[in-house]
Amino acid sequence: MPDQRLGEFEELVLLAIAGLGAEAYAVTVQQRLEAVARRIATMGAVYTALDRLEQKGYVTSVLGEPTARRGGRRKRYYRLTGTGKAALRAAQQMRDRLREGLQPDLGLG
Amino acid sequence: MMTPRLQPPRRATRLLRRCLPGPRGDEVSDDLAELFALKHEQHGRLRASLRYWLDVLSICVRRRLHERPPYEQTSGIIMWRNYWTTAQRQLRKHKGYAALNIIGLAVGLAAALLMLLFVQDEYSYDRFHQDADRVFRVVQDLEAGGDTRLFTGTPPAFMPAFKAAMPEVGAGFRTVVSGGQVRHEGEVYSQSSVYYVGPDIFEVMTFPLLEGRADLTRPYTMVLTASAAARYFGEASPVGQTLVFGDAPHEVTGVIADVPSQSHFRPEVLVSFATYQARRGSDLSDTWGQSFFYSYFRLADGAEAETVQAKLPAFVEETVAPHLRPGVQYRFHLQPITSIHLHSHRLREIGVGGDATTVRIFLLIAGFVLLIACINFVNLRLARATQRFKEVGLRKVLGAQRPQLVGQFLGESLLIVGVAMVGAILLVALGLPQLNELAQKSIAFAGLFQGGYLLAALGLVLGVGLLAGGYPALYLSALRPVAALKGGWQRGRQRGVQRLRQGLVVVQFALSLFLLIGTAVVYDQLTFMQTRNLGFQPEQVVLLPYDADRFPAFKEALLQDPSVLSVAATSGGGVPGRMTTTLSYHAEGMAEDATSPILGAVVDPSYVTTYGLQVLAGRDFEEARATDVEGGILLNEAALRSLGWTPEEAIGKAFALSPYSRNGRVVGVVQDFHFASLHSPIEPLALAIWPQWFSRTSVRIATEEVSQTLDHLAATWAQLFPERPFNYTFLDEDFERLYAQDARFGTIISFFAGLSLLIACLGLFGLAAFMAQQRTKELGIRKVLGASVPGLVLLLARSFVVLIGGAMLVALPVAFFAMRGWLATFAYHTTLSPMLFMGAALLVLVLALLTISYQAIRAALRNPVQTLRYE
Repeated sequence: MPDQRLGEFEELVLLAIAGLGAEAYAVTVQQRLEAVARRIATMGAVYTALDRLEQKGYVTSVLGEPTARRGGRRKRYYRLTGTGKAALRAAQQMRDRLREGLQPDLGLG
Repeated sequence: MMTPRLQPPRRATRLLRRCLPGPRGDEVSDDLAELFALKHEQHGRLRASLRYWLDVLSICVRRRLHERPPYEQTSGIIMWRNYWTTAQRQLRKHKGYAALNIIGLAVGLAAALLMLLFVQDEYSYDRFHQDADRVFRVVQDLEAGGDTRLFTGTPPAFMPAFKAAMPEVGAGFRTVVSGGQVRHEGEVYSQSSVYYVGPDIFEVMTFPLLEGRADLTRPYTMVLTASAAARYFGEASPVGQTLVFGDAPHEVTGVIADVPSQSHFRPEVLVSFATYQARRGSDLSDTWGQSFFYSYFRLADGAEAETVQAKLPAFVEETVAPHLRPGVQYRFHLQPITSIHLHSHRLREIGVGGDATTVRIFLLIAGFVLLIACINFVNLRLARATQRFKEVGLRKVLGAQRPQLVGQFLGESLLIVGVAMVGAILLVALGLPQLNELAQKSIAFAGLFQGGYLLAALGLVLGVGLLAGGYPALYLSALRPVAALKGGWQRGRQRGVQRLRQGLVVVQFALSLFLLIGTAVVYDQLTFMQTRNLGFQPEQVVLLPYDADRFPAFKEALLQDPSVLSVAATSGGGVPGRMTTTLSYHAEGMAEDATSPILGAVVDPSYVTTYGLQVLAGRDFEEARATDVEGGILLNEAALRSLGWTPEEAIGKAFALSPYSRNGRVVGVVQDFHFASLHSPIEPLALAIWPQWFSRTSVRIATEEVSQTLDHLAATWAQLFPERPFNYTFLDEDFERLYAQDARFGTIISFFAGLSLLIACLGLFGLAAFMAQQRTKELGIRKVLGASVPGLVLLLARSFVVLIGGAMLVALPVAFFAMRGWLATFAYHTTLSPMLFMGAALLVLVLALLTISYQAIRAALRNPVQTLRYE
């Protein structure tokens, strides 16, 4: 299996997919990243992250039915897998643990 | 459909389609179009277009996105099974080619493996000692009168003083190497490799003790190696027993294991140094004037060799210099014990050492042979490539990716190399005894299967597989499917491959020719050395030990046989081939206190007759003249040259040769003779009579009935020396030993030259067969149109002859310069004759033509009806 660690950007993409539910495909993921994370996410970066996540088995993809908006073409929808959810939880827990015992005056507690 | 106004920038879209063709590109461009529409609504056309460009570029720069396979890959294992089947079928279908490939490679690999074994053995000398890198030998340079001699030994006084002055020396010992008679239970044995050593030796070197205590502190004690113990005592335990060595009984205090053959230091008997001291009545620890003790030491814990080396000049200044005559300088150097075998070439080494340069040359030659074998492989495989075009095309059509094809073909190459490796190991098993005999080694076949070596062999397989299989694999996998399926060469590529193949043939034959010329020159030089007029007659001279009391009687008894022509007594350094005794002289006309070094041979008046030297001026020594014994000197021409005298001038000149004759006179001049190997120029030499130093007897016998004369010698010997065995050597055998290394070099290089020619011809054979086959139809048509068989053969052979010619152009000059360099290492050498070069070139050409013509004639003789039958 390839590298199983979750990069920072990959984590954001994974969170975006989780938040989008059934409407997660490349365009919506990118829109959500730019809206919520307030950073420019080029499509190249988005596709790369999606490919990696899929390789790692954190998401699966299916080609959706054609919609009128896309002129009859289809799009690829992404969905979190069990391991994807577990990876998100693990990332969350790791951060929580790192936060424990931080000085209160940092304002991060 | 969108309105046309909402089309994203067209150029960007085109770029995107170029980067991402295929279904992935459809998906992505749809996504981007949707995004463009969104941005257009929100921010207007300009920002949407900019963003679109940015996204396209961000996709195009990421190679990973392009490579994402759009469909499932075939399972690797299934493909590998298919490759395996294909490879097997290829080998079976073309047995001849497979055999040529495998045999050529196997021979090349075997050569490389044998050489690796040899080199590994050469580099493993003296490494069996514990912490061998902390053990050193001290050697001495002696400089006097502008002349430097590099001695292996040091003065007897050196080691005690050295140990006292250097706290860095953990343990150290000095030793004298000798031999002598051993008597045991009525039998007399001649024992060599007897080392006089103190008990310190066991702290410096590692010799596992098998029995006893190995006590070397008391006088007249000795330690035997296992094989020496077996020789004298058989199965019985020797510990506590006595052996008579020399005249005195010695107690055996221990048995050590035999010293491995990979050592320059191989005692068979260790006698306590206290014995040497007791015999001499002194331990010589104030003798600085001679250098015949070998000194070894082990560094103390934490000490560094550099520190010791740095302190040596000061040590010489303070401790040694006060004991030396003016004008004489000593310099000492440390030699790591592990470097002695290959790198130390000094006067009076303990054993015959190896030579790092020779080892490197052998490695290079083995590399050549392997390279020639690799080239065969590449050539034959490229030649067969046409046969695989259809397969490659079909695989590509079915979706094979280039890396897969490269993997397949490389895998095939590795398979073939692997099979060849098995063959090579068999060949090594056959060839190892020969190599051992040639190199006088005892390398075990089991050495092949030691970890490091196996790894090296595996590396060899991988290296050769990748090197030889790499280009054909890359070449085949790059074919375009359509062209490949049509079975034709792509325009341009055919020429390229043909050029490469021709270039490789040129390289092969250039290497073979180079090795062949090398062999011829080496042999020429060997013959030159063996047949050169040495200026004396080394043949028919028998060397025997000397005994001062019984020599006159012995000589008289011998001379009664008319086939004994002459008998002379000499010092050990008086025998040609062993003249290493350096003395110093003061000659008439030199400044008051000045002295110069000169080689000295201590001889008796019969010497000049016995060795057949020519007296050029003055006279030979005369037995009757007492003044000759007191101070008569004979000089050789080289000595006169360095003195600037003519032979006539020299006669009667005063010539003080220390340490014997304070007031000597030159009585005669002898013609230069080659008393040393032809590697070195003839040095100045002085002959003087000094009976105290006699230690060898030289007997010249007639050429006829040698064995009868030897019987006479043996009988006379037994009569006069009943207690000593009759041990004799012939001087010319001794002399030949000076060239043993050269002779060995010659045999090994000729062996490899033969191998390389064989492999190159194997390759040529395959290539010629292929060419003939490719041109079958052409030959058929030519024949129908009336071409003659010789004409056709010539047609096929012509292109190869051009290649061989090219190889000559490359190899001849390179060989000329390389061999001139090699010959320059001999002071006296043969000249490079053009005949030799032409002969070698002709031989290569004839062999190549024979190889080709078999195929060419076969092709030319075929009936056109058959070759043209099918279209």
